Amino acid sequence: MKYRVVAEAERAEAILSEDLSFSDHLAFQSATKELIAANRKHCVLDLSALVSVDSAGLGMFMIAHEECEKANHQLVLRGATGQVKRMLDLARFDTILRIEPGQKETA
Amino acid sequence: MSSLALAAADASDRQVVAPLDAALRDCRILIVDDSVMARRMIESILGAAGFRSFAFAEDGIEALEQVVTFAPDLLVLDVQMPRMDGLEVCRQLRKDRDSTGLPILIQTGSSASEVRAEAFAAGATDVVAKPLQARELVARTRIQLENKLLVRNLSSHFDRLEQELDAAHKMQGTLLPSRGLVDQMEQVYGVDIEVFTEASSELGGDIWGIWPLASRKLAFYLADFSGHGVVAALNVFRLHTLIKEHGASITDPSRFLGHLNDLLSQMLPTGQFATMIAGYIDFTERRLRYASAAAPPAVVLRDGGSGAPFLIDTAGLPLGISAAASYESREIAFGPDDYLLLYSDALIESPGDCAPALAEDGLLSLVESCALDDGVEGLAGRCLAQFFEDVHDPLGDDLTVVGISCPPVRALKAHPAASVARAAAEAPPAAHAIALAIGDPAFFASVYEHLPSTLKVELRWLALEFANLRTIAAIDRLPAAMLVRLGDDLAQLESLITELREDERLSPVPIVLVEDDGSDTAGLAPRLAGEALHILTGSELETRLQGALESALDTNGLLSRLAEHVRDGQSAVPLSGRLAFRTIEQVHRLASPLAEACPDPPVAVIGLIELMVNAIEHGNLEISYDEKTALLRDGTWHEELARRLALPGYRQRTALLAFDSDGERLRIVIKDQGEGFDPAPYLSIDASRIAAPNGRGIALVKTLGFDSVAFRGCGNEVEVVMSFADAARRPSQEE
Repeated sequence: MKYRVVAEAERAEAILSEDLSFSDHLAFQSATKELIAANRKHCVLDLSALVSVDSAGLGMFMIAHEECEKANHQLVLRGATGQVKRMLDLARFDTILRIEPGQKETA
Repeated sequence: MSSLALAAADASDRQVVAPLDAALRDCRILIVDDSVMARRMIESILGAAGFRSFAFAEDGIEALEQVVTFAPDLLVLDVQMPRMDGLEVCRQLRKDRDSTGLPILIQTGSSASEVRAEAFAAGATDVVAKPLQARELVARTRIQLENKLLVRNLSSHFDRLEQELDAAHKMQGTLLPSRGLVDQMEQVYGVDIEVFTEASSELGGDIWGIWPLASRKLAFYLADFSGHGVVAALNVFRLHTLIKEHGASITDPSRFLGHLNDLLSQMLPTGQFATMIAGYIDFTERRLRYASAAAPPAVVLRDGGSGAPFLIDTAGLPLGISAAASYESREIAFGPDDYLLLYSDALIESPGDCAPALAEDGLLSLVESCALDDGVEGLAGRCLAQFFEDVHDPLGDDLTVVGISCPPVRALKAHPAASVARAAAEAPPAAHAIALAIGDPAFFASVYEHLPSTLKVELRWLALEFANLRTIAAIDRLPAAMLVRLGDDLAQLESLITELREDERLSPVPIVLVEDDGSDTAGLAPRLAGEALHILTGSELETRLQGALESALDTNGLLSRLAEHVRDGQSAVPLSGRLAFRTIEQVHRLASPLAEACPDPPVAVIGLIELMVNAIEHGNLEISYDEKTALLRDGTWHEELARRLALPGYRQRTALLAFDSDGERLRIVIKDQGEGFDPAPYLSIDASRIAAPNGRGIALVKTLGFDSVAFRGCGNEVEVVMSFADAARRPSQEE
């Protein structure tokens, strides 16, 4: 997995790409830390460039969600497509996390 | 350098060198030098530093021999020596696998860098300059030995870790259904089951299971913990324990998952969770009922593989994330000619060498193409063979694949387990009574196999270790009989039976004990023998199971009808039935409800107890009149009864009582399995028995309110008749 964090006025976004799996937990941890350190009201995980996620990756989303809550930020998972979207649907993550469609779909 | 100069240097060095610890002190040092003076000097320096285990060699050849015999931990090696020089010794040792880790200190007379380079190239671990400086020699020796010990500790630690992981891996393997159990389930339910499991590292996060839920219901589950390795494996153990304990509630799959989720949510930290599919196949109603917590969608294939495979809906919040999660029970038709493929996500998420991961669509096409040629037989195996053509070991995740195939009806009839064909052919049972089998699944399988088709009973199963009031209460209906396997764990069984006997609802449920043919049950605990209605051996299942189970069901049935009868005041309504009894305690438990339905209950209860106890002590247990007199006088009567009830030859005997009322007259026949006796002398109270403690019971019965008392056969059958009209005319006790 690769990531870059972009901070705007009201929100910070971590843009994830490639695949998120068990072996990426250190990289994901740093992404979460940077996202929270940006200290913006809204934290976004941009998943539009993420190709796949496994069950360990879903677990990392949960941890990120909890970390953000602790820091009084709200985490949004945005723009998941393909396998990533299917995994989020399968696990009914919409019932516990805020999940938003990508910008193209909202437009 | 002279030895004197050396001694002086030594004396000053000792001050700064910290004492050696025991492990270092005992390291074996081989000193190789052709000069006896040099050997002594080195020994003296190292000896002064605290080392105490030395050996010596005068040249290279001798050094190689000493390496084998002395097994040193370190070599101090001179270069210039006769026969074989030090550099050659180094080269030889480094060629040998066993001594690659052996530290070698080479003494070089020259400090020129090319000489040192040559020494290192030959395999020296370190170099000490000549003339030797005591402090340098000790420091370098010490560093090399400390390194060596560290590596040794690390590698032994690593070995131990590896052994522990290996042991844990084996333990985890025991959680999965054995091939034997899978074979039995195939036999009992007439299905074909293919299983493939592979852990990605030593320990995995996948687990699956299968167990008999009821005569025609096969329960299954497949779960996958997030991640793998030790944490996932420990979670697998947790889940396995929870499933064993709450397995009976899988009759409602949504409740089952909800329950597991409640428990796991309390146990698991954020980020750890499990995906799971769990449910059962109902072979009578031909349906599959399941609930899922984000398990990968299972594949169903109809018509023996000729239909198009499709995925079933498995969406749901994974287990352990939120205690507020709820799960949905889903249902699809599933019966003869249908195929179910369960798998963990590694099957669809492992990328191939030159292709992306299968994903769900890829799996569907794979299944379809594999089924096209050879149908569903061995389908999972063929799919996996194709999968592994492109995806190579080791996988990044654990892989579990289970294929369950339900043969077509024609094939079912030809299946060796005839009971299965019967199960498929039978109409759905109209709320049959439940019989609960307690013991290993193999016991359930053998009971099921010998269960006659005419017996209208639905068999359920619980493992002994998880059978308790709570798990039995979780079964949707109260069992009408319990079949309990008498295995090795007698203590556990005793505590279960004690628990059952103290429970108001479960205490009347008759118990049929089945002895394990293999185990030594000569010393069958009287406590267990005293609670059973029937005791069979495993090999008698075929011949005696039906009778024993029927009489247990009859006993249960008659008791509940008697209770209703009395409660509703229906003495004028005809009622008949049978019940069985083996022990005095059972007599006392049964006599009151029986007497309640008799014309004159307070009198009848005395007579019934007399006759029923008689059937046990004089009939089944063959205690003679004189023996009983002696036993009563010694105060050992109860002890002797308990002893005989547990004795081979006696313990299989059960007495029967038939109750038959047409509303006017009531006839009760009691029959025991003893040799019989001549009742004539006991029908009136003889002068010789007036002072004896026993022997008046039968005569008493005769004079009590029974219309007639008649012994039949060889005396092992007695019939009493009572009339409701007489009782009504008879003056009441108070008058």
